[in-house]
Parts: sequence; C-alpha cells; structure tokens
Amino acid sequence: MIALVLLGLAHADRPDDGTAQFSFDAADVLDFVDGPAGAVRVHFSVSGPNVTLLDDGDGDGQPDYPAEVAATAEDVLAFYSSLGFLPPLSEDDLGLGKLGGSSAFDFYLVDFGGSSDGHFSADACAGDVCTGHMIIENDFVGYGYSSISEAVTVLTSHELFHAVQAAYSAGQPPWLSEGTAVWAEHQYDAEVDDFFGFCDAYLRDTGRSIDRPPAGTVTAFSYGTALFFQFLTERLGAGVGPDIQLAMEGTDEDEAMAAVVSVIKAHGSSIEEEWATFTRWNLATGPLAGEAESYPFASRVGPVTQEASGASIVDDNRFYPLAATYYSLDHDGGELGFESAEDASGLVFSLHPTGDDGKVLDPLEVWSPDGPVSLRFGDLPAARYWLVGSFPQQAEQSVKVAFCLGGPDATAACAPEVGDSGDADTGGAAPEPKGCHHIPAGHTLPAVILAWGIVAANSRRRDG
Amino acid sequence: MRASALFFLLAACGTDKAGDSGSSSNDAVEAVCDQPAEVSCVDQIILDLSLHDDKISDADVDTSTDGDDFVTAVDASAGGYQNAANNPWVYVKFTEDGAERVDIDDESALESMDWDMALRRFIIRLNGGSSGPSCVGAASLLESSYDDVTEVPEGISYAQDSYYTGDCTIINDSSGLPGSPQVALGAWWEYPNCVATTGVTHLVQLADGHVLKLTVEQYYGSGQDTCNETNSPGEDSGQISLRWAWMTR
Repeated sequence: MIALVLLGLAHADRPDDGTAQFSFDAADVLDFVDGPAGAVRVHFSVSGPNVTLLDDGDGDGQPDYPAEVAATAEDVLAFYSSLGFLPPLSEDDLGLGKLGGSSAFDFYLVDFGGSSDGHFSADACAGDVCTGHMIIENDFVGYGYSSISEAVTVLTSHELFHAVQAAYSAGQPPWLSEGTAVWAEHQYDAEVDDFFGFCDAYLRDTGRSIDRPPAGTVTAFSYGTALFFQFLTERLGAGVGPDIQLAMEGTDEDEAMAAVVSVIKAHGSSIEEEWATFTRWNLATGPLAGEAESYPFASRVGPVTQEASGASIVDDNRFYPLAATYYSLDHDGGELGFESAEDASGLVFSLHPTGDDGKVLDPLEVWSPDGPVSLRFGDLPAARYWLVGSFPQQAEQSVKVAFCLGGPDATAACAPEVGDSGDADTGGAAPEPKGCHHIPAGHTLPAVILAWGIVAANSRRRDG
Repeated sequence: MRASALFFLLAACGTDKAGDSGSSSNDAVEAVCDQPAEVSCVDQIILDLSLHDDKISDADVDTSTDGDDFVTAVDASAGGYQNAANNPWVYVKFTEDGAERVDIDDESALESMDWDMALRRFIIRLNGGSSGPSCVGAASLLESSYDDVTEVPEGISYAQDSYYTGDCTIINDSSGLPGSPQVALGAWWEYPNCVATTGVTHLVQLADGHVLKLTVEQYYGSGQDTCNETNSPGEDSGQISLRWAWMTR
C-alpha cells in the first residue's frame, strides 16, 4: 500500500540498512540476482534469519525463487508498458544514486512472519510522484498460495503496479490504488484467483459506495473494487486503465472518483450509464450467470448479496451514491407492480426475470423515477424475479426510499394514502405515476416484453 | 462529603456539552434531555462505522455484582476483527439492577434513546452527539482511581461523542489505528501493539441525569495483564468487562 508522500528527497531506509520495518538481520548473508534484461535486481539472504528458498533446480548457479522473481518482475514491467502505462520512476530520476548497487528496480526477500506478503515502499518523492523498492516474503512458508509461482505472479504484478501508480501520483485513495492493482493482476494473468476472490468481497457489500470502503485498515472491499475497473475495461476498452492513472496526476484523494468520472466521460459515456449497467452485470454472476449480459468470467465471481427476498418486497432502503442493492422476489404469477410514494429521483431500478434454470435474464424493465412512482408490469408468469436499485451518480448524500414490489396487495402498502397527496391538484387521489419507462397499469405481458426488448437493445454496447 | 480526589477532564475535540452537574447522591437529579435530537452525518456514520439495518446483535451481556459494584461482561467480539464490519454493534442500557442488552439494529439506534452505550471491538460509543439522538456524556477522571471516586465532582462537564467535523469528515483518535473515531470514552484503552487497558475511571451521565462511574477492566477474555505488561495481545479479544456503580441513585 502506498502511503508515503514526502516533499523532500531524503530517501527511506531499505531492508539491507537493517533499520526498515522489515529488514535483513545482521546475521544474514546477502546475495543478489539480476533479471535477464537487467531491469530488476533481487536481493536475498543465503544464510540467516531471512534465508530464502535456495533450490537450484535448473542448475544455473542461482536459486530458482529469486531468479523467478527477477524474471517475472521484468515481464510484468514490460507488460504494463505495452498497456500504455508509465514505467516506475527510477532512483536516477530523482537523483538518488545507485541504491541497491545498480540502477535496476530492487526487490528484497525478507521474512514477514505472516504479517504481510509484500509491499512497495517509497524511497523518495518529488511532489506526489515517488520512486521506491519492493519487499516480498522470503519463502512463503505458511502462506495460502498454491505454489511459489502463483505467489510470485500475484505479488510482482500487484506491487509493481503500485510502483507504476507512484509514477503518476502516490496519493491515491486505497479503494482506487488497491482496486486498480488487483485489476492489473488480472490484466497480467487472467486466471489468477486473487482477482476473483477480491471481486467476491466487493459483491458481498455492494450497498456501500464504491469510494467509501469500511473505516479501518485497508479491507478486502478496497481490493475488490477491481471489478469496477475490469467492467470499465470491458465496456470502454483497455485504454481506460492508463487514462485513470493519468487523471490521478495532481488529483487529491477526495477527488479521485471525480477523476474516474471524467475518464468515463472522455470515453464517450457517463457514470450514470456505466454504473447502472455495472450493477446489472454484477447481478448476473455466480449461479445467476449465463444468460444476461455480464463478464466473461461471470460464473467465477459472486453472486451478489441480497438485501431482502420473499413473495413480496417491502423495504425502506438507503441507496448510497455509486452503490447497489439487490432483492429477489418469488412471484406466484399474476399482476406485478412497484410502488413508492416517496421521491426516488436519481435512483435507477431494473427488474429481471429468471429462466427455468434460475439464471437471471436481461432486464424486463429499467426505470428512473423523477418523483413518486407507481408501475404495473402486467400479468407475469410465476418465477423468481430480481430487483436492482442503485443511485448511479456522485452525490453527497444517500436517497432513502420506501417501496413495495409484488402483487396488488403488496404494492397497496406503499401507495399514497387517500388525503395524503403531495399534489393539491389531485384532490387527494394517488399522484400521477412518474418514471422514465413507466408502464401504465393494465398493460399486458407482450407490451412489457416489447419494452424489455427496447431496453435490452439499448444496453448492449460492449467495446473490445 | 465531596470527593477530594484530583480529577482532570479529558474533553473530546469539539465537545458537545451534555450537561453540567455537581450532584451527589442526595441532590435532586434533573434530566439532561427527554426528546431525541437528530443525528447529523447519518450517511457517513453508517458507512464509516459499518452500521446495519437488518441485523440485531444477540451477543451476551451479563451483569453480576461485586460488593457495591456491578460488573458487566459484554461480548463485543463481533465475529472477530476481520468480520466486525459485517456484524452489528451491541447496545446496552444501564438500569438500577444492572446493565442489559437492548435489542435494536444499528440504524434504528440512530433514532432511539432506549440505549446508553454501544460496543463493537474496542470502540465504545455513547448515545449522544455523533453517535445517537440522546444526550449521554462522559468525563474521564485521569488522576482518580475507581475506588477513590465516591461523589460527582462539583462543576464537572460531560462530553458527548463528537467525531465528525462540520462537513462530516470523521475525526480519528490518536491511537494510530485507522477507523477508530474519537469517542468520549476513548481514554479507556491505548494501543502498544495490543489493546491495553488504562484503568481510567469515567463518569457517565445518562439522559435522565443520573451518573455512574465506570472503568473498563478487560478487553481480552484472557491475557489482559500480559498485554498491559508486555504489549503482547491476549486471547479472545472483544470480551469487554465493565466495572461500574451508580453515583446518584
């Protein structure tokens, strides 16, 4: 995690100084290996408390693990360059001399004792850009990685992306710095489980604004925001990653989301459209994946956590900006409606049927209330339906709305009471329903399906 | 007889004065408030402190007596450190017969005066100011031992929780632990690599004006002394033990 932003150029301690938080011991006997291109140097202990794995299976005279770290790190750096990212700042860029004995990017393999598995540490900064070095676990004994190679892939791709970020701005908030670093892991190796695991963490807590992770130490939620950046990549193209980093230059932490919004706009879309679509893609994950538009890996992540479920839904929910709430409805068949007597302006809802196999389908209806809303979807067959509600914009406050979804009896609970009109002209009758895609009461299923087809056609836009 | 022990108030930054009193057990007690106030920064507190509207804690809250004191054990472990954000706070009310759990969800608690104290892990909130609609406040007596506090000092002021700025930016305490708001009862612990108890005695004034003295005796189910003496974490964290006694009933 990048947290250090120094205005001066005094460089931080390194593990071979013996004074850094995670350091070699005086009893360690140190050696190093350079990567094939000479761009990375890996420092390790061959004897002592931080001794690394010394197996030399290929008999090249170098321990395989440090050599693999060096080679993989160089490959990762070349890959990030091919995506259009700046390289990490070097020690030379900031006039620090040849720290670690060369101008190469330095890795140090030290024993974290299970407290961490690696991190990028800034040596010095000029303004808000920094150069630094990498420290990663010396042997991964007791860690959960399936193999050393997996650990090396995850650690080098993730932590080196922090070094890349530091070439743009080291002051990025954790939800963005960690989320894009996990996203970068996935770009480098689309099969790495780390990415999928963190996506699940995000999908378990979608009711929280994406730029407001839980207070406390950096949580899995912050890493899981990688899913949003992957979504943007799927929708807007691979250039969105470098563009977001460019947008971070000179940007304060609390303006990071505004910078992301500006990138989305520069790519010809809007946060409102992308966020609402993102929430629907997220619904079609896990066991619900397979029919509705979603990620290529949709079945490997999720599902989302549902706020409530049942034969009808009556809820009073606080919809946070750039968050989403999910409900499942087991409809017995017959008329289905949505009712809210409160002002739900700014929110976007979508209603999704499911197929016989339980997989969620593209939305039957999408609506954006601009006041109280009373929707009738007509007679719908018995099935499970999903409701997605979101507030797809940057805002200071949440929108709290009571609503009902279900048959006539259920929706009646949310209808305005007679004499409780917000519109004097109605004389106390129920207010005229409002909504971008309002379906008048009494519309039959074919009309609804037609509306569904229009909505689905409009939402099918996926850039390479 | 008035308490002669020296005391020093640790007032929270941006203190909201819950009420001034110098009452003793013989004084008439006036309510500080009897109507709930609107909590500001509701959006922020729900997200920052991971409040839930669909979960109610069923954690154990057990009160026993020890001489003139009550000893209340609260399971504030909330599923462990990694899972705490996914679990609700434990709400407690102080009564004449001891402290008891209040079964209420976090968001409803923001509109309720039915609770006095909320606990989750090492954070203890009081129902007032940033934390709730009531007016429960606390004063920390940094230089008085629990046993020495026999009466409420004259002119003492009570600070309510006040951990949001005017623009609803959270104010963290000085523990160095991220996401630890600067609550009025924050002086009970410090963090020398584990949650060490300080033994500080607090006076807590409830909405009805009654005052109790309180100290937190342990955070770990076992090994609190080890933490306090060697800075090594104990076992079974979040098992908070409160020793308290009424000062004005």
